[in-house]
Amino acid sequence: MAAAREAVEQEFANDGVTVTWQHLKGGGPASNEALANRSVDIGYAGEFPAIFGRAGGLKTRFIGGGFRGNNAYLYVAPSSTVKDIAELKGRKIAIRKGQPWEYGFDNLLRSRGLKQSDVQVLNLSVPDARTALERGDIDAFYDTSSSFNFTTDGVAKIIWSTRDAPRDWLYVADFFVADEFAKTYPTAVTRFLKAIVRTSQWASDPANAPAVYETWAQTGFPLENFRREYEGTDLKFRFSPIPDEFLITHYKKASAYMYDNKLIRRPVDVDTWVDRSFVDAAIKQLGLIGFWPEYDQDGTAKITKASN
Amino acid sequence: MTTKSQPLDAVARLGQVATWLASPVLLLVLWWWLTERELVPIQILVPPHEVFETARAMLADGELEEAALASLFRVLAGFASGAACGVAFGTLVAVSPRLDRYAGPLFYAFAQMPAVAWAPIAILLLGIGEEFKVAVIGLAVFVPVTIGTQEAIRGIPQRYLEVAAALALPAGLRFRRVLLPATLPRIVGGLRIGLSKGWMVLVFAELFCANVGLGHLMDVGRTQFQMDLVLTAVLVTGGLGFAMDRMLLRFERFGSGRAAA
Repeated sequence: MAAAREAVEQEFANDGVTVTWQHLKGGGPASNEALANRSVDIGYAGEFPAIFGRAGGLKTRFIGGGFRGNNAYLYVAPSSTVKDIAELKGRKIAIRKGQPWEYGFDNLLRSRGLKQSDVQVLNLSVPDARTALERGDIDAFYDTSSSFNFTTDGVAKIIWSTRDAPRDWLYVADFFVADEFAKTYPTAVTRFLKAIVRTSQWASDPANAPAVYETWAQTGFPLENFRREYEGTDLKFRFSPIPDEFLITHYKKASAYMYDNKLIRRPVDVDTWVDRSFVDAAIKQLGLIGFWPEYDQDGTAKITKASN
Repeated sequence: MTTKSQPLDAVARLGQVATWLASPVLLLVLWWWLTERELVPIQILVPPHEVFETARAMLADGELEEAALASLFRVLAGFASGAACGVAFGTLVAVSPRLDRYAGPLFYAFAQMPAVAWAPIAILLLGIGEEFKVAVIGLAVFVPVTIGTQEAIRGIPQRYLEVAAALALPAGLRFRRVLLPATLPRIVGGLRIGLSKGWMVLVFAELFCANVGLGHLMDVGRTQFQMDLVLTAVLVTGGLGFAMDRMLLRFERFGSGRAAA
């Protein structure tokens, strides 16, 4: 998003600093690898990959929110009579394992009194899940808006989404900086975040939503997907760049889930990971204090006294 | 060679073992040194002792065994079916020039396609279970085995056949004493290439969709940023592949040895 708007390039335009966006095809895991071999200084990843990296000993700081409140959907074959995930006890549900929406998936099952072991969870990629749904090899697929074309192509219908769930079940993606880079170039980190914050401010305005969708559509997904995913959601919440109580609690819960389910082998201390100083400075320098409310652990805006 | 056991032989054997071990030990030392000095990011190239620790823990809770057995089963099933079809088809095209003229071009075109390219179609036809994995492994094995068999049979020196005919050897004896020793090395050569391709395709197929297996472990390890898991799976895959390759070599020596006796 910020890359498409060239906000970061503009921030550094007069310094002879070349900003290279590495759009890593491997997503979060690739972001970890790139941070580890120092081919990037600032990484952008979902909470699961970020926590995997942290648990694996990557020395990073969690410096800012990217976007939060991303939905997941429960896809079933169009002919399926299943109305609720509770009916899928003992049956086959596919998910991309190790992706952040797995946490919401687990919450959904537990809210119906089920555990993951009560259903057969299969790890499938999107194209394989599509084939499997068509062949009837699986009963459901729990995935994001990137599988929306299943519904338009008549391969699946959506029977549930995280729009009906607590905000904590939704997944996020955030910014992480290599610790050494932050120590050496603290002002660069703040300026990077200034560009991000400016973009987030622009994207938080519902009036800009159509332009936001259009920017995203450059990634190759149909514009309609983004409209469906975003319409009617709280854009200010989604684009808040602040690692507030909501985000920190979400990371704590997600990492606890991952530790309990042996996805990571050592617990992750979120409090010592987060470094708000850069983003707070960026917000202050842009005169945007109070533009985003601080959200509490449930994702409700805290009522604060106007601070500016 | 199994009957002799003089002390001199034992010394020679010891020397041979030392030669074999030289390169793995050197590699291990290099690995240890690179990580000790942190010349590479240790989150990616995990130090050897940590990998062995991970392997030990996974062995203790049965996770490694489960993965290795699942993968081994897939490779064996794919290898057996691919090799059987390869030997049969290779023999047919070797003895029938007409069949070779008809089917040869198509086969060689097919041989150029990587077996993994068939994976999406195989999934569509066979689903996401074991069948598709065994099928693509089988396809990968089929090609080199067919070529090896065909070349082996074509390469039988004419005079061997003439001598066999002159001696009027019975069919069984002719097969054991002439055909088998003349063809076995090349057929086994094809089988060995097929086997290594089979392991390669296995890892790929398990990355696609599997809930258990060595390739799946590699995928999980990468996703979870636990490279020790990836390296463990790589080492076990290499070890199993090496062991199976050795068995094929033994089979060849055994076959040729019996025939020569």
